[in-house]
Amino acid sequence: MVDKSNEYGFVPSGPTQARGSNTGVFGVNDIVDLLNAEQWSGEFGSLELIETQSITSSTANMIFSNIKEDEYNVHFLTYSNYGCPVDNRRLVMRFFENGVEESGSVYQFGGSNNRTDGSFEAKSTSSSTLHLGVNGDTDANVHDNGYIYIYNAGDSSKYTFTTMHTTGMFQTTSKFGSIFLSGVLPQASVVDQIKLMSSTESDNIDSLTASLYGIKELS
Amino acid sequence: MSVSLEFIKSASGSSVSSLSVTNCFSAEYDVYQLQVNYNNGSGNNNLSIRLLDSGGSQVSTSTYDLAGLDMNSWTSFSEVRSTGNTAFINTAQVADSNDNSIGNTYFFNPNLASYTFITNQQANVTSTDFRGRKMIQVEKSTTQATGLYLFTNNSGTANIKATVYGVK
Repeated sequence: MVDKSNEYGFVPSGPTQARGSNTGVFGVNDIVDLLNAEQWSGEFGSLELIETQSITSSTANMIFSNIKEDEYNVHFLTYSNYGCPVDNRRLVMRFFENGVEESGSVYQFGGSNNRTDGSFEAKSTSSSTLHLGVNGDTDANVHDNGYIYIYNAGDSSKYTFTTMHTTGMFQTTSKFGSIFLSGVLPQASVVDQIKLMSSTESDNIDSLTASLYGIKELS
Repeated sequence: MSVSLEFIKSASGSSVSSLSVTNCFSAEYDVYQLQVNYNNGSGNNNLSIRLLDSGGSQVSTSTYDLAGLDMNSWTSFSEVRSTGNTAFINTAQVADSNDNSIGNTYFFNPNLASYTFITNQQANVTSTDFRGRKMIQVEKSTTQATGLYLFTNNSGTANIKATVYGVK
């Protein structure tokens, strides 16, 4: 984008920009051009979109197969509009380790299921998935939404942890609910894919939009 | 402004009992996110955090209050609440050399001369047990904080990494 580096005789060399480390002298027009292109390094943030996926018709699951675990130690996943074709299903998550789906009863979690009709403990020491949303139903108005942080996915020496908070309607439109929950895949391994699916795996997902971000740590 | 999370700084230490993150709070942001990666501890170590004032001194007065929930994977949950603490307590937990803990904390208005509020959610493996935690805490001295002091509450050692982001 910076194509006028020699326009000013006093500029000894073309300015360059790198994340948090610009060099040289940028002209005003250079900066305006870069801002318009959303390429000015002063505008770089640490939340970087990796991928957005959407399901708009009945589909088995959603898999993020390139999570760039070697670039980010922390991932941030948002989802909205989870719709299930069968009542009493929730969205759940699994990880892949070096390309192999971990479907064993190895996940652990503890969280609180908070609903307008009461609060309930959600916990397991031997789950085959990590719970995300509340149990919904097929009503279009009860779709589930939330966010999840995922830590240490690319670190082969550490467990992969999650913290999340979601909200939706529990089974019927009369019961508003929310879950906050922390979880772990207690295996020191490289997690390289993330799978979202219905709590009964044979049931498809009717609708879902999810975005995966990496949180960049600059130096 | 198209971005919402901006890296400010990080600090880390191996086999340490404390870690300072100086000059991470300023007038530039109202809300901050602190990510803590805490592992290889000795003893049953909860991680505490104090604010640092503009001179770099710890705010260690009995002005910290806590309300939270320990969410255990293996047994019933327990409410945790206390007042008059001398630090933000229980922000992460490890118990032995194989343990890992992740803490994610939001700080609200730490650099203003007003109360500093935090929300925290964490995931901890101690021995073979998993514990999630969710909590709120407040520091009520109205100090204009500029940094953080993290320390193990039994003076044991651990590997600590702390990363601070500003939320735009």
